[in-house]
Formats: sequence, C-alpha cells, structure tokens
Amino acid sequence: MTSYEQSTELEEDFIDDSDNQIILADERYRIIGDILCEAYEPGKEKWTLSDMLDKVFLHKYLGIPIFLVIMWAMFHFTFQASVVFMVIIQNSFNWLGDLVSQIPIPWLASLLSNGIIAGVGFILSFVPPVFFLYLAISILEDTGYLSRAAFVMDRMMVKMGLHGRSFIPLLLGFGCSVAAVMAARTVEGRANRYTTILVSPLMSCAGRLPLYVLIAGIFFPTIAGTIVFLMYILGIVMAIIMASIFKKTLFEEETSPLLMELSMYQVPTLHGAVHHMWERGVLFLRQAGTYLLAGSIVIWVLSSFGPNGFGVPIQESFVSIVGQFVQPLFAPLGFDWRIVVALIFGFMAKEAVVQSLAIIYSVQSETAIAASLLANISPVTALALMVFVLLYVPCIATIGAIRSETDSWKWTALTISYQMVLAYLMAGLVVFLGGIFVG
Amino acid sequence: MKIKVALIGNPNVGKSVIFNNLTGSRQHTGNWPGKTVEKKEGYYVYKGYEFEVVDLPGVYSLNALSDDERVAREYLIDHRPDVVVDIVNAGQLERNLYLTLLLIEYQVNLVVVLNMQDVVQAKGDRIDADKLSKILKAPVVTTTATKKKGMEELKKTILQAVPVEILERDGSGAIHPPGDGESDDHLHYHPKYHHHGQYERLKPPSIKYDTSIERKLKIIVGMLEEEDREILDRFPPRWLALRILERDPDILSMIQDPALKTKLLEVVL
Repeated sequence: MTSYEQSTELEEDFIDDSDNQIILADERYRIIGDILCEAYEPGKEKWTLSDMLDKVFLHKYLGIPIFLVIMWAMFHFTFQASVVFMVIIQNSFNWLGDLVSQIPIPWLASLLSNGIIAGVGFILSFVPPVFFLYLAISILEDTGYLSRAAFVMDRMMVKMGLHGRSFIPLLLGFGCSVAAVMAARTVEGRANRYTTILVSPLMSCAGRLPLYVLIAGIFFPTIAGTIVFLMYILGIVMAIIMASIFKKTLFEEETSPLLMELSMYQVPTLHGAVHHMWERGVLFLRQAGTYLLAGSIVIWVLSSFGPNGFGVPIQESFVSIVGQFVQPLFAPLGFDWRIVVALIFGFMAKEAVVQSLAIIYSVQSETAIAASLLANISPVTALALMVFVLLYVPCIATIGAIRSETDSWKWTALTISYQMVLAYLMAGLVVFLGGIFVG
Repeated sequence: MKIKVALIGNPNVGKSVIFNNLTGSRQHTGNWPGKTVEKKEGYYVYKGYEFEVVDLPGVYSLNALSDDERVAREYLIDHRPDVVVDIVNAGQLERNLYLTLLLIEYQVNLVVVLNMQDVVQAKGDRIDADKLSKILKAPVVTTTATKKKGMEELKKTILQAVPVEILERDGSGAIHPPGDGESDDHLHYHPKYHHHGQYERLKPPSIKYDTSIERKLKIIVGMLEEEDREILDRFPPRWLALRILERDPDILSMIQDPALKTKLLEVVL
C-alpha cells in the first residue's frame, strides 16, 4: 500500500520540473492510473495501522517537522537519561585518580592520574550517551521509521538535485563515517556515489558525541539536548547543501527518482534494540581501549615534558609549543592553544578531542575540566568549537575509507580540504553572529 | 530449437519462486558476462516444446543506471527472448505496472503474471484480469507461486504467446525480412546477437502515450531514418526514440554524428 503513495507523491514533486524524463514518467503513471481505474477495485477494509501511520509520517508538509521532532526527542532522551550514569562513572574515575596519585613515583602517578585516567577514564564517561543514542536509533530503525525518514528526506534531496538513496548511507554516518562511506556503494550512478562519499563525513558520528555532550552540558545545561540535536541537524543541512553544490559543479549526471520498499511498521524487540546498541557501544569501548589509550599516553608525554624535561609548567611543554605555534591561525575563532592541540589530536579520532582537552587541563591544574573550560572560553567560542569539530577533517579511518572507495587521492584531498574550509567558515560565522547577538 | 523465455519483475515479487516452479531442478547459475550480477538459467519441456528460461535481475525500471538494470535491458534488446514474462506483485499493482509499461515499450511478446494472488484476496482487492489483459493486449495469468497455484496455466499461456513462425523455425535463415522504411513499416530490427539477416518482427506497442509525445517520437524516428539508418537497424525504432527523449547516456553515446545529436536533443516535450 505504502508504495502507491510514494510513486504518486514522487510525481507531484517532479511536476514543476520540465524535464523529458519526468514528463514521460508522469505519462506512464497517468496511464497506470487509468488502468487501475478500470481493472482494479480496492477492498473495503484497507486502512491498516501501518497505512494510517504513513499518512501522517510521510505527509508532504508534516513529514519533515515530524522527523525533526522525533530527532529532537531522541537527543533529549539521550542526554537526560545518561546524565546520572555519566556522573557515576566520572566520580568513580575521580576516586580512582585520587587513589593512584598517591603513588610515590611522581611521573608514574602523573601518567596514571593525569594521562590515562583523565583521558581514557574521561572518555569512558561518555559511554552512556553513546549507548542511549544507539538504543534510540535502533528502536527507530526496528519500528521501520528510519526508512520513512529517508523517504521524507528524499523529497528535499531530490529538490536539491541529489539522489534520494544517498540518505540511507548518510543515516549510517550517525554511527560511523567509515560505514557511511562504504555504504555509498549502494547509490546508483558515479556522480551520486561520489557526492555521497564526499559529504558523508559531515554527518555527526558517534566519535563527535562526547564533545557535544561535554560542551553542551557545561555551557548550556538547560538546553543541552537541544544543542546536541542542532549539531546533528547542522550536519545534515551542511551535507545536503554541499552535496548539491558538488552535484552542480563537479558532475553532470541526471538524478533518478527513489523507489523504496517500505515494510510495515513493527513493534521493536528488546533483543534487537539492545543488540544494536551493544554493537555500537562496544565499538566505542574498543576505540577507548586501543588507540585512545595509546593516544592518551602520547598526549600526556607531550604535555608533561618540554625541551627542559619532565615536570615543566604546561606553558613550556611540547604540546604548548605546537599549540602556540598553530594557534594564531585559529585566533579569529577564539580557540586557545589547548583547543588547537585537541583539534590536532582529533584528526586521529574525533573522540580524542575531548580526551586531549581533559589531559591537558588535568596536567595543568587541579580544577576539573568543566571549571577550566568555563574560565577559559566564552559560550560563543564553545559553540564555534562544536561546529568546528562537527565539520572539520574526517578522522584517519574515514580518510582511508574515502581513499579506497574513490580509488583516488584527488577526491580524498578534496574531501579533507573542503571540510577544513567549511569548518573554519561556519565556526567563524558562529563567532560573528555571536558577536552581534551577545555583544 | 529452444524457445527463449525471460522472467522479469520488480524485486520481491516471487520471481525466483516462479522460476523454480517452472524449471524444477533443471537449472544452472552463473554470472552475466563482465558483471557481478547473478545469472540463472533453467529448462523445461511443455507439450513437446523445449523452453529455455532466463531469470533476469529484479528491477523497478530499465534505466541502465545500475548493473541490474543494465543486464536486464541488454538482454531484452540484444538477445530478444521469444516471450517475456513480467511478474507483477498483484498487491502492489500501481508500482509494478510501471515496469510493465516499460516492457511494452520494448515491443516484446509479453505475458503478465499477477502473482501473490492470496495477498490480494486477503486484502479484499479485486483485479479484473480480463480487462487488464485487454488494455495491455497481453495475456494475464493469476498465480500464487508459493502455493504452486497457476503454474500449468502459466506454461500454457507462455506457449500460446510464442509466435507461430518461431514455433516452426528450424534455426536457419531469416525469420522476417527487413521491413521497408518508405512504406512506414518500422516494426522490424536486427538484434545484436541474431544471425546476419535475421530480422525481428516487433509487436506493435499496445499502449501509446499522449499524442504530443507520440508526435515527438515520430519526429525523432524520422530524423534517424534520414541520417543514421545503422542505429535504427539495431534497436526498435520507437524504443530508441523514447530513450533519446529520456537522454539515455548509453544510447546517446552511440550516435556518432554531432550535428545529428544536437538536432535530436532539440526535440523536447
């Protein structure tokens, strides 16, 4: 049943377009309509619950607002539900940190408490939001709503000259950009596929969530869920805008309408939802256990040692030297050298941004990261930082995936550079607008 | 001489079930040349005639954008099966008929199968198969493949759809001599994989589009007749005109003369 509405609605979308292909498709559907009129008689009790839901969820004008509301609710839930657990985990690591800082060997105590526990331990406190977000996403997926969301977005994307099927890989980008890049294989046509690959890192992946949760929680505690939601929406909007720009400048291929099989709505099973959540959560844990752990040691070494050896004030450490060197570039955005260092490490994995900040602040002083951030940057800069992290260079794993999927360094370089420029411009815009409104 | 039958339909319409029901264990699987798309072929004998069935990939349209669509389209155009069986999910008639209309553009000997009849009955829908058959000018068979219902009927209908000259052919010589362009006989062409001199007599399209569209198609065929007989010889002319109107990249790239191409692209709806 559902698919009927689809085809007719797709048609309506195309009517203002005066393209031969569309006129012909239109004509075919007109004839099909005539045929059905003559040879087909629908049964009386047609209105299944699934159809009724689709009438609402796939509504021409209500579809997108409903999608936004559901997304918002999802992030709000994620944030609210995880706060308690995050505090518990943070407190346990604080306690553990205090314990190991009693170790009489100063460098070891510092490595364990300021490096590993401040870094990896801090990242681990973001496990609850990751778990809850993926619980919510997999429930939406299992009910069948997510494919409807793709359908609803398709309409908007087709208007922007994009292939609708692109949205499905992009949805996967919420989990991991690597998955999204790989899934772009399912997109028809070279132009569509490349465009999808180019923009998929703009979708906010799980690695970026810790920073949003941290910053939103510190600077905008009352509307944290909404802020996180806005970041995800900004990612989608940017992906759509960039895709249509690429589509118009780099490629000259036609788009084809999306025909999707929408299965009936289903009641999600607890088992399925938990399973998905677990899969994604474990991936996050594995990251934390492997190269975020290694990274935390590297960051600790660089921030505890300087040209003059161990125990130098943080201003004389290696990270500070590197950070101070690059920092002028980011001065217009209000990023201090610590943030710049964190962003450099974020290139390895986006989670490392939060981790580096935590370690640097921890090595530097006794105050908690929240207080240090509040003291060091303004809310506008904080917002700009979130936008920057959302949009700037994809992590190494994603770059590898883009390289292998496009089989070209040229496209890979293009992805990295356009994202860098876009991130800088958008963060700059935030600072500029913030300057006007906040004064 | 085996009679070539192609099965085609949207994904998830029960095409494979019908293929298995028709051919039983007499089938083998391979790949389409140069593609990662699976090719399934099978055989069956009915009333003394031997049928070779090819299961084409499930597709919604025949745009040649994806490998699946390209495989299906190339098979229909270049190999010219004797009968094309379009399997339709009767519960999703509107969407499925889109492919049916595309197949009519191919001017093949079409048999339409309304599968999943049980679902239709459960929903209380009524489909008038006779009327549908009249409109499409093609036989319509209703089946429930999962319960093996309607399979004999389908075999019988396929046999009836085979043109007499094919049933009687012995594999040598021309089936149909090339038609005469002057006398308005466009209903012939020479498929890529047919023997030299073996022309195909096309079934007239049972559904014509709006006169404004048909007029443009005639204009395009006219242009090709004057300037590119060769390409006109290789494809069904009306089908070719439709693809040119749709700006089909594969077809457009075959038109060598840039002046002609420009002229063709000026025809818009």
